[in-house]
Amino acid sequence: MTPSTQGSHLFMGVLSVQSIKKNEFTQQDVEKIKILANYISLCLISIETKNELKKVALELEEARNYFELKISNRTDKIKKQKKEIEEQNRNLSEQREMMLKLSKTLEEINTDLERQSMVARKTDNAIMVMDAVGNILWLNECFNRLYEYTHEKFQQVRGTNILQTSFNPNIGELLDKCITTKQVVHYDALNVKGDGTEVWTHTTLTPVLNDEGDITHLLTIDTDITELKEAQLKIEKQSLDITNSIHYAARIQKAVLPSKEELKQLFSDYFVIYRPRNIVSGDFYWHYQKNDKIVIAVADCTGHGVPGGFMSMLGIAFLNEIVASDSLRSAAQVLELLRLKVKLSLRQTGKINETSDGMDIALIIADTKREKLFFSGAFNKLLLNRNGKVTEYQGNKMPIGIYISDNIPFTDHVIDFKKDDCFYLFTDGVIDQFGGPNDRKFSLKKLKSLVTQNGSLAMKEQKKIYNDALDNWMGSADYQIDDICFMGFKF
Amino acid sequence: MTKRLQEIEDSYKNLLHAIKESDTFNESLVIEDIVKTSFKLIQQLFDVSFLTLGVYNNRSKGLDLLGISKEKEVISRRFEDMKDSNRWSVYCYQSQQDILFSGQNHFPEKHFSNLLFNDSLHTRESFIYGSIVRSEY
Repeated sequence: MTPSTQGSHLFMGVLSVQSIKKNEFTQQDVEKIKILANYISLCLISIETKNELKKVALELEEARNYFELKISNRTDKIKKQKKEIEEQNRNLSEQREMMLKLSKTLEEINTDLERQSMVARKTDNAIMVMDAVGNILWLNECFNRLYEYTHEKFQQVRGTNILQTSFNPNIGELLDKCITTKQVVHYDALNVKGDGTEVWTHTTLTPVLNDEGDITHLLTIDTDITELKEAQLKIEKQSLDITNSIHYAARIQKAVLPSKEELKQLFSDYFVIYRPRNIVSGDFYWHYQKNDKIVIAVADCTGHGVPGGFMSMLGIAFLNEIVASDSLRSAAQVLELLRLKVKLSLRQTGKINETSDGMDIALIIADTKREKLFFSGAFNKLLLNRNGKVTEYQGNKMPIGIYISDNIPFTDHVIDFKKDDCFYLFTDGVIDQFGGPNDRKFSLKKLKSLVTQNGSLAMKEQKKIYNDALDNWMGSADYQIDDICFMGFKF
Repeated sequence: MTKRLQEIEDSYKNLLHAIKESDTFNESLVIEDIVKTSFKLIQQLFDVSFLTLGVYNNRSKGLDLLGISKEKEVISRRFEDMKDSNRWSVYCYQSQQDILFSGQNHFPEKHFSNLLFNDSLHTRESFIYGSIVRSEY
């Protein structure tokens, strides 16, 4: 309702009253109607005002709601932005933390690299880094000290490739081996330093591989081993001197053993297998002849090598003394005298911590005129092959030397021998030798079997068979566990 | 989010429109009360058979007429366009002149000589048309 206006008057509408009667209204009634119309206008104004107010209120409400919505939207947007900023902050914080960790890791790596670099620079080893074919890329500070060269001078004088710089005459082969096998190669070299003096170095040539396994660099680490090398040379010289001494001792030992000529005069046939484990032997064989009596002994002294050699010399000396002063009536008596001399000379009284050195021995005295043979043994045995039948004569189970039952006398075995009887004396190095398919002892049984099978053969042939059997059994001379002495003979 | 906001704003506008329409209706009801009250009041003064209140409607450019009769006492409605100046009510509103008709002998012909009025007079022997004016506007 927007009425028309005229001046200060607003025309809002029309009020009309009608009557079905004529002359019902007068001019005065018109005035009354006008008054009523005024009231009605006030009512209409009131309604309009009320509506306007409602409209304003509604618009205000609308505006308020609109702004609330806008504010809400804005708030939501701000909240969203805030959330995004928080998320960004969190991401930044995580990134910062990651960066810090990365930085720390890099710092650690740097520290580690610095240490490695320091080690490479300051170490007492001369380090040389090369490309894959040996061209020098880097030398550490130790090169100055070790080789008395500046880096520039070193490459100027010695060259720029390991093939030129190395003093090892086989450097070409060593480099090829390193590159071909991609394995570390070690070698020694005597180098001439910048000041003209010499230095021994031990070099480790290492290939540096990439992820694909290809060589990218080569690395040498040289260690000064001059003192070590000098000590080694000294030891080698001393070792050679000692070996020479031992060889000389062996010559002396052999010289005191019976010669072939002497033995040939004693027997119609014989063999001796004499295999020291080391150069000198703890085993020995010995003979003595006086008129019709022949004394033969095969002994195994405690120990082997030099100690065994000493004991064997002692044993030989004592036996010589005994037979020179004895009437040679009994083999057992000879052993008892020998035991007495050993105990006395080695001062064996039975006390704790005393030496218990001594020997095992088999000794015979053959009376060739009466064809009688006396055998006595300290642990060792005598084998007799008569017409293919082998008889074993046991020695007493006690050694020559201090022993728990050393007051028991040795036993004499008396044998009437015949012309073709074959006698065998041996040390335990023969039957105790390990070997064969199951790495077991050669054994007395096997020896007796061999003797049984071959006793009719000439002693030279038998010697070959027994030697071959031992060789086959032990496989390698390095595997010999003890000195071996094996003697066969017939009168 | 923008689409959702637009949907909410549209819904809000529709709601406002509905409220406005509802207010228009309420306004009509209030005017009916005015008509009824005025009719009761005027009957105490005259012997009135009909009372009509015409309120100018700016949107439809005409008068919304609410009438009440002594016989039925119910509101009847009618619309008279401002273009239809042959109507007494339209003429009264446009000319802003009060009209008194109490019989043919009193008919103010000088005022209406050029008009051909459509309103039938046989049921109404006398009538008054007065404009509703708000002064000091």
